[in-house]
Parts: sequence; structure tokens; C-alpha cells
Amino acid sequence: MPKDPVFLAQRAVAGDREALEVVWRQHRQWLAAMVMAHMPAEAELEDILQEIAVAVVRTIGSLKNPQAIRPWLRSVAINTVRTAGRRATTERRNRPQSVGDDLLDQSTFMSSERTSQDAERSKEQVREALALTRGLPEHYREVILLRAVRGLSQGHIAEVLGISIKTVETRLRRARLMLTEQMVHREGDDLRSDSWRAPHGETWKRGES
Amino acid sequence: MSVDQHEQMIERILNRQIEARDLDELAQLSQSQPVALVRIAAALRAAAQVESGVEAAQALAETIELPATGDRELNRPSLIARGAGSWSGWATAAMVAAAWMLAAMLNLLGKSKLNPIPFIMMLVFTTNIGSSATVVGNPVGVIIALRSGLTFMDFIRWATPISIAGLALAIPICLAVFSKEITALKSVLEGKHGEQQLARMKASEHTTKKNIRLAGWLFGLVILGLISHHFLEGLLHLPKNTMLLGVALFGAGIALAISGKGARELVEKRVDWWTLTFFLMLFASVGTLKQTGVTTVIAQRIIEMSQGNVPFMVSLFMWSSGALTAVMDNVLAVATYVPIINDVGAAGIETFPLWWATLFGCTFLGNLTLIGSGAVNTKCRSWLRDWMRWARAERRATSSTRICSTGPLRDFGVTAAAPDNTARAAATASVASDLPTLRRT
Repeated sequence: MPKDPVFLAQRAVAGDREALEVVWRQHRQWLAAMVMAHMPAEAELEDILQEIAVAVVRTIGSLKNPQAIRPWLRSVAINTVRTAGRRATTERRNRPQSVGDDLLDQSTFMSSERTSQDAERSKEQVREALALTRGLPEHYREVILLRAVRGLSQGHIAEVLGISIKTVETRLRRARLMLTEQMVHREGDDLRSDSWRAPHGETWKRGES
Repeated sequence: MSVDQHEQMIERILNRQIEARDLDELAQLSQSQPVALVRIAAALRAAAQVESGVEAAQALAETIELPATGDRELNRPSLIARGAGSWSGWATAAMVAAAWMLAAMLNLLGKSKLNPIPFIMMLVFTTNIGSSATVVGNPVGVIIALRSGLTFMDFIRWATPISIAGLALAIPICLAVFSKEITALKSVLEGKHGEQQLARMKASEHTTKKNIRLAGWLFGLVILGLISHHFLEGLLHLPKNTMLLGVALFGAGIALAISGKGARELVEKRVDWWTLTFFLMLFASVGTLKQTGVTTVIAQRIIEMSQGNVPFMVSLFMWSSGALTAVMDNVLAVATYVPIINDVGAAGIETFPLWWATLFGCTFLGNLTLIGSGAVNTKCRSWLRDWMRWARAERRATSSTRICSTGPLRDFGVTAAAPDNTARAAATASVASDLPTLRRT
């Protein structure tokens, strides 16, 4: 089966199940990052991805322009996330959960760590980084999470979001700047609490370069 | 070295485009600006950690395959949702009882010499406002639920509070505007004539008690089925909102079976085929708008005009759907707006508040004119001459309740509840049509 996304999308719209499955496999990884950018803390990534899969099967026939398969998938994903998010908020309000708890409990993440202690610390750090990412404005959050997807270029991100590559670069730079500010601020607190002193008697001040 | 230069270096490192001069600069920074080095390290660590999180998400996504069909998985509602569903059922039953009491009141009016118009108006205002409370309160709600995937519980959570607030405003206004008529009714009910009338009604009740009980059970079961439609769909593995139609068809089937020999007459004469044909043609005409791309163009213009500002879009949808309702019919208006909202959603804009805006626009402003809603239309077929009086009273009631509904929706950053108000209106109209001998006051 050819791998051209547009050709595959055309076949999928025409009802070719095999093509639709290839389309799904091609796009599901960045869709996961997109879901992370929009889903509420109470929702579960796996549930939402399954809902999106159902929505894709159900509505693929409504895709008018196969060339716009990526923006279309983004719309489907965002609408599904919001609907599922509302339900999850209602159902799981009494079960507070940190961002990415379910995600980071996956064995795929744990397997790369040397010891359980290291793994636990790394997991905590990743969870905190994801929590910081959630504090960013939505359009910055989307860009920074999509950029972390393997093989997704800035051109692809621009296509998904319907913006120019230049805008992607700008948003990415600003998102990283904001994330760094927060990270430095947090680490600065940690370092101060450990009586950290920089050489030459310097101390950390927020926003200092 | 400035912050910008740091950022550029970070970009190069993250993009794996690090150069020899970057290494030199890093070495220099470690001596001259250790704080800047901390900053760069933090940025790289943040990027790596986010990447780890996304990698875990990607690994999870790899395990998700497409389902065989587009049917939703079995969705088991929580105990709380079930409990809420049963309580909402009681609430609905109470509201229906209230609507029937109003119909009975009109029956009583028929034997007195009071003008029924003010009472019909009050009934219409509260019917239209209250019908937005649940899915099955209004054809508008049914269409929105079927097209948007919103469930009965979504309506209870989001629409009912606004609807109740609207009623809380409309009822005192109606009581104030029609105070003379209400005082007159009170005097009739308290007088000798009222007592005689009540005694006559009580006496006639015995003859129809069995039928009333049977109809009540059937009606109760249908309402229960409508309330629990989401649960039934999950249980039977049916697509979402299938049972909204299924339960109604089931109820109609039972009614036909009970009717026995009278079933044919029921189908031929008691079903409002003219209205159904009207809706059939109406949906066909709206379908042409979708087919020719008119709705897509409208959606694009709306997005351009609002620049993606959701609160502005909420106001726009509410008032424009209301305006369309006033000059056409609320079912036609909502049928026109459904493809527009779908096209707006296809552009990636959140449509959730837009569905509610359209619901309230089409129900609350159904009060604006005689042709505004099926309920008003059916009830007031024989009262066209009172147009001016209608408009005067409506202005006061509608403007207040609209303010009430726009506020919460704008902040969204968003009783007569059953059965369908057209059916209820038809029942009331049949009562009203029994009042030809009334003299207008």
C-alpha cells in the first residue's frame, strides 16, 4: 500500500478500510500529543484516543478535502477531547489525579530506567514538566508538545494548525522561553533550599540572564 | 551573551545543529555567567522531559487500533448519574403534572365566562421557556441532541438551570401583567359556580378513570425510557441517541395495540400529518442549503466576523437563531443552524456553547411571534386577531428571560420539560378549541 497521506485519505474517504487503518497509524502519534495539549487533568489519554478512533471511523466519510487530512484529524481530536473531557470532569471530580499519572505508569516509560529509584525520580520530573507545560497558553502548548513528536517537522505542525512555519517558530521559541522561566524558577527554589551558591558569589534572580 | 543568543543556542542544541562555536561559548559561560548556564541547562532539561512525556503518549497511541465500526463502546453510567437520572425523572413527572393542571384549568375556564387568551399566553411563555430544560421538552432539543451527541444528562446539567432561571423571571412578570385576569379567575373558582363546576368534573372523572390510568402508565413509561435512553443504548450496544426515537416509536406501538379497532382511526385522523409533512418539506429545504454549500459559507463568515472569539459567537448564534425563529419557526431555525455549527466545528472551534446558544435562542424567542414555535403555532391558530396584544405581553416576558439566559452562556468560557411542547400544545389547543362560546372581555 502506498504511503502518500493524501492518496490514503482519498481511499479512506471512499470506504477503503485498509487505507483508513494506515491513515490512523500514520497520524495517531501526533494525535496523542495533540490530545495531551487539550485534555483536562481528570481525563485519561487512552480513553480519549479510543474515542477519537471511533469518531474517525464514524466520520471519515465527511472529509471533503483529503489534502486537509491533518487539520481534519485535529478538529476531530479537539472536539472529542472536549466532549470526553466534560464527561471525565463530571465522573472523576472526586478522584484528583496529577497530570500524566496514568500515562507515566506505562511500562514503556519505566523500561528505560536503570533502577526503580531512578525511574521514580525521572517520572516525577517528567510529570512536573508536563504540569508546567499545561500552564502555558493553549496555542503554545500545542506547538511545544507537537514538536516533541518524533518525525513531525515544523512544516507538518504548521499544516496541522493551519498557521505559517514562521508562526510555528515564534510560538515554539516563546513556549520554550516560558517553560524555561518556570523551570529555572522552580529549580532556583530547589537550589536555594539546598544552600546552592554560584561561583563568584552570584545568587539566582528570576528573569536574570 | 544576551537572552536571544541563549535561545538561539538552545534551538540549535535541540535541533541537533550544535556548532563548535557553541561549545566554546558554553565553556566561556561556565566561567563568566554561570547563572545563564543554569538557564540553558533548565531549558534543555525541560525539553527532554516534555519529550519523554510525549514519547510515553506516543507509545500508548501505538496500542490503539481503529474499532471495527463507528459505534460507541458500552458506556456504563456511574451510580451518581443513574441516581440523578431517576431524580430528574421525578422532576420531569412533576413538571408534566403541572402542564396537565394548566390544561385542566383551561377546561374549567371553558365553562366560565372568562377570556382564555391571557391564560393561553402564560401557558405558551412558560411552555417555550421551560421546554428548553430537557432533550424531550422541544423538537429543538431533540434535533440538537441527535446532531450534537449531547445526552439527557447534559441537558439537565447545562440547560435546566438556565431554563429554571428564565421561568423564575417569566412567571412573576406574567402574574403582574395578567393580574386582573388571575383575580377574576380566583373569584370564579371561589364562587358558587366554581364549586359546581368542580363537582361536575369530579363526577365525570369516574367514567374515564381506567383510561386515564392506562394512558398515564404508558406515558410514564415513555418518559422513563426517554430519560434513561443513554443507559439503554449502552445496554443494547446501539449508536448514541437511537433510543430517543426508539422509545417514542415503542410508546406509539403500544398505544396502537391498546387502541385495537380504533388504531386505524388513530393513525389516519389523530396524527397531525399536515404538521409532519410540513417538517418533512422543511428539512428537505434546509438540506438544499447544506448541499449547495450555503451553510459552509455562512460558517466561514461567522468565523471571520468573530475571529474565533467564542463569547461573541455565542451571542451571535443566540440572537440570530432567535431572530430566525421569530420570522420562521424554531424547528426550521435549528435545522438551518445545525449544519452551520457542524461546519464551525470542522474548523476546530469548540461548538459546545454554540449548541446551547442555539437552543435558548430558538426556544426563548419562540415566544416572540405567533409563528415562532410549534407550540405557539398550534395553540394560537384560532387566535390570530389578538396579535397586537400578544406582541405587547411578549416583549416584557421575553426580554427579561433572554437577559437571564445570555449571561451564563457568555461567561461560559456556558418545565414543562416533557413531553415535547408541540404535543402538549396540541392537547391544550384541543381544550381551547372547546371554548367557542366564550365571550371576550
